[in-house]
Amino acid sequence: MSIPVQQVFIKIPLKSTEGLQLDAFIPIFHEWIREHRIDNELLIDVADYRHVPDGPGVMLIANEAHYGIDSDGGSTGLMYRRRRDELGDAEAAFRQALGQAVRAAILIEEEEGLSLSFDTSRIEMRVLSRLTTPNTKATHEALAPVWNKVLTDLGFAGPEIEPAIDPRQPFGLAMLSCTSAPDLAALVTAL
Amino acid sequence: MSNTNNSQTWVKQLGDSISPDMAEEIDAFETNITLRKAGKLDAKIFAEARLRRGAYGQRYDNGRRHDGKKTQQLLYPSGDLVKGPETVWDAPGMMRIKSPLGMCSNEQLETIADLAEEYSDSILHVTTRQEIQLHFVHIDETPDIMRRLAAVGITTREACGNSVRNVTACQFAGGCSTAAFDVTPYAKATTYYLLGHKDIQDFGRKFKIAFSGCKPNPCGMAMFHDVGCIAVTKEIDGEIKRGFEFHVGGGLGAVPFQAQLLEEFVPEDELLPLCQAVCRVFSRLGERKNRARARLKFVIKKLGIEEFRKVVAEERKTIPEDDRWTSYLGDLDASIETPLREGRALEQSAIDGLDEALREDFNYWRKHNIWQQPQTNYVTATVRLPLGDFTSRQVRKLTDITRKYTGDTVRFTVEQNLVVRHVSEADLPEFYQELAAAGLASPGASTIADIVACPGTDTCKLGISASRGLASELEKKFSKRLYQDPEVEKLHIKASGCFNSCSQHHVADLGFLGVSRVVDGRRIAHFQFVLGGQWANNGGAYGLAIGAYPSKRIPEVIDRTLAFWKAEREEGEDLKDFVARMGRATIKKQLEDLRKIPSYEEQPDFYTDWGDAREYTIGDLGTGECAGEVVTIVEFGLQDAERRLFEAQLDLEAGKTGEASVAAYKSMLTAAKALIMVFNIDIQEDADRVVADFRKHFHETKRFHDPFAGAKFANYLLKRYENPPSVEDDALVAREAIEEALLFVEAAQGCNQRMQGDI
Repeated sequence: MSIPVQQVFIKIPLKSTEGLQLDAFIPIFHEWIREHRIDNELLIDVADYRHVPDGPGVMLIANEAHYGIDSDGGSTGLMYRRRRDELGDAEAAFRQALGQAVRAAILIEEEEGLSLSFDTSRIEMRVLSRLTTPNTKATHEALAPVWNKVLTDLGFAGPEIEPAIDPRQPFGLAMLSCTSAPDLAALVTAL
Repeated sequence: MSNTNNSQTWVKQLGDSISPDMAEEIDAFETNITLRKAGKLDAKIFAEARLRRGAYGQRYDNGRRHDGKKTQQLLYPSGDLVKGPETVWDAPGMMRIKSPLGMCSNEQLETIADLAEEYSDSILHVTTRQEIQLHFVHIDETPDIMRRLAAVGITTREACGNSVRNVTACQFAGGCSTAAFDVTPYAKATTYYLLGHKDIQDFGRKFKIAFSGCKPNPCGMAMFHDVGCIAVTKEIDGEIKRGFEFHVGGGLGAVPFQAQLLEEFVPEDELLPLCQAVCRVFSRLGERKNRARARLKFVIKKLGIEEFRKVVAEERKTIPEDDRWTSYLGDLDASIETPLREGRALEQSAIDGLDEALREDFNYWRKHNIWQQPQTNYVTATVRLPLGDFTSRQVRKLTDITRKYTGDTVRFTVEQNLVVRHVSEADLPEFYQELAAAGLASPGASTIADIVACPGTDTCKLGISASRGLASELEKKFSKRLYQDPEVEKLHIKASGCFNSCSQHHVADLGFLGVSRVVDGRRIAHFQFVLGGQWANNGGAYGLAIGAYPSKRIPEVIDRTLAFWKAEREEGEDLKDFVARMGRATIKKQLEDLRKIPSYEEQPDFYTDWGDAREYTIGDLGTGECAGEVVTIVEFGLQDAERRLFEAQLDLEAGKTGEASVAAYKSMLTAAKALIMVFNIDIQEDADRVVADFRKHFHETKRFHDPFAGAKFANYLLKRYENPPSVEDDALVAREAIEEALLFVEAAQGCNQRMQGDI
């Protein structure tokens, strides 16, 4: 039995951090704000956390969600975190968050001079709200099948999933690997 | 939004874990939100209500943001609904979380980490008042935040607004060999006695209290607080008694004041009633209308310390006895922290066993980040947090470490770090490695690399320059350990985004405050360079600005200053004494070429601020020839005002206090005259004429008024005109005159820029 969710977090790791220059994201995110580059978002500001070791790097602050190039938790990648949304159907919330994250990742891949690409076979999902989705076995039993269904429907095959162990962390499911994963273009089409 | 559902559910979820009083207060605040949304509560009243509960506004919350090319409207879904004047409902805000004395338990810290993750951006920011701020928080979510904090014993009550702010104290209290005694129980008693007390509900401005265990060390910073208490003991009838040296009326802000001694020895049982008496006097006599002169320091300045002492003594007699004044004294040991592990010495062999690179890093970290406690074989470790920031994940790693090694003993510091107390020395190598694995082992605590910065243009509505951007750049530079000179290493750098001194730049060895200048029609971020401050002795001396330098040149300004000092200093001469001996004029001359600004075509990145890709100015002045000439004359006049102001500083430095006071006044008149030339090119240098024209063209029209501070700076001139300076003025008066003149001249620069259409 699924449960309603809100505040979904998605992280799509970079294939490689070689050549990654966080500084470059400051002008890029400012330009995204200036040119309203992300649909369905009121983009507000850029937050610079480059000084924080293994932190959120450079963040794009928006009314509905925050984006960033994040190194928290051991992997570096595009982070999407929904800030304020209605408690709603888990599958729809997962697909919505994944869609926004994938579209932002595509924008980054398209940025000239960055030469960055994302590894869709290691996507991580969290649900930040501890009130409705505490990091418990019950939440896992309710949401893991939904997340698996979303992945399968999108064309992922054989995903190996690891839950967030520490109960103090938000509920989360990290994909360690999979036998086949759609690329960003295929994902955005399927979403 | 589902927040209404959530808030109700959090009420259920938390149940009885919130005290009835706190629950009622938070429910009342939530009702205010509902009323405001329904249009049944005035925006101004709601604004004060949320401030008193720690919910601040943030940059761009007026719904506008300059994107580097033009100002864009931020079209929030809430439309016209506001949470205060010019403050859009949906705009992200800041939540300030009180932690008295900087103390925070593991459970409390983990709760704040959860809140940062769910409602903010996963960053906890430590402030210079030893508390935590979360940014980008929505006002609708604040009641839930308050409830979850209340459930672990934290209140945000009176974190902002006109109230007694977070009471601060040395982070080493209870583990310090230079302290007369542990101030912890006294500072806690003061906090909770005054929290919500009826006598502090009607202040005209905020009120800050600090406790220090000793005089020479700067941890408590008692000398720049409204009330600063320094622990002392005294032999009375053959018995050693505890008490406090009680200082009043200190403060930084735009015009800094050193605290004055009210009582040499206040016995411990008189501490709370005396604090209460001072609060009552402040409430009764403090300014209400003019916020710029509403702090306690102005009451004392007006009355004089002798009269103030009498008034307080009379007030003290009228206060009804309260058991809480002394009830805590029977259980002072309750605040003593018990170490988790047995204290054991660190054997050299344990250090030798580390591999070479690790050993070098460990030794450097140990050199600056460890404080020897008087308790045998125990130390306090400082976790240096660059710019005061750490993440929710780091919090959980930190609490794992503290649970393993020390128990429940974290305190935040006024230098935006935190300390872990009662670490057994023998555990240090392992402890260090675990901190390093969590990204929490930055070395160089309290050195030149440990830079303090206010939020500045990152999130503060008042920020003029990017203090955090500058600090980040300097932190990178000095973390490379370029300066092995111990005298350089121990310097302090503090950067404020504006004149309000939130970084405490006045007491830094190298202080900076954000200003701006217009050159060839483009605005450029600058910082005023403040030299001569002293961090030691509880913030024993305040520096003065020697001039404004382009933001992008500040690293060079520091390098040049340090090189000059190192080359010319006398044996054992610190930077403050060097500045006093050499004179500001000599140092300023060394830096003269760094004021120059390359053209936009040559170096466009000079026209952005640190950490920000946007052009700092609009740059679309398009002034005609005639206006151009006027602009030139005005700018020339403003430069002349700056020159006169600098001469005033030199007079003060030379002990010519009266001359300094007069010169400071003249610099204001010169700046005013420069502006007046836009309307009256023939204005003469006559105080009556200048002030009359200034009133007519700038004050009455509000043209000179600061967007945030209103008439504050204009009043500096008008007040001096009514009470002109005298050659008999003492150093205190001269210093205040110079600080005011500095702000007036800066305001004149701002006014000129606005008149050119470049806001």
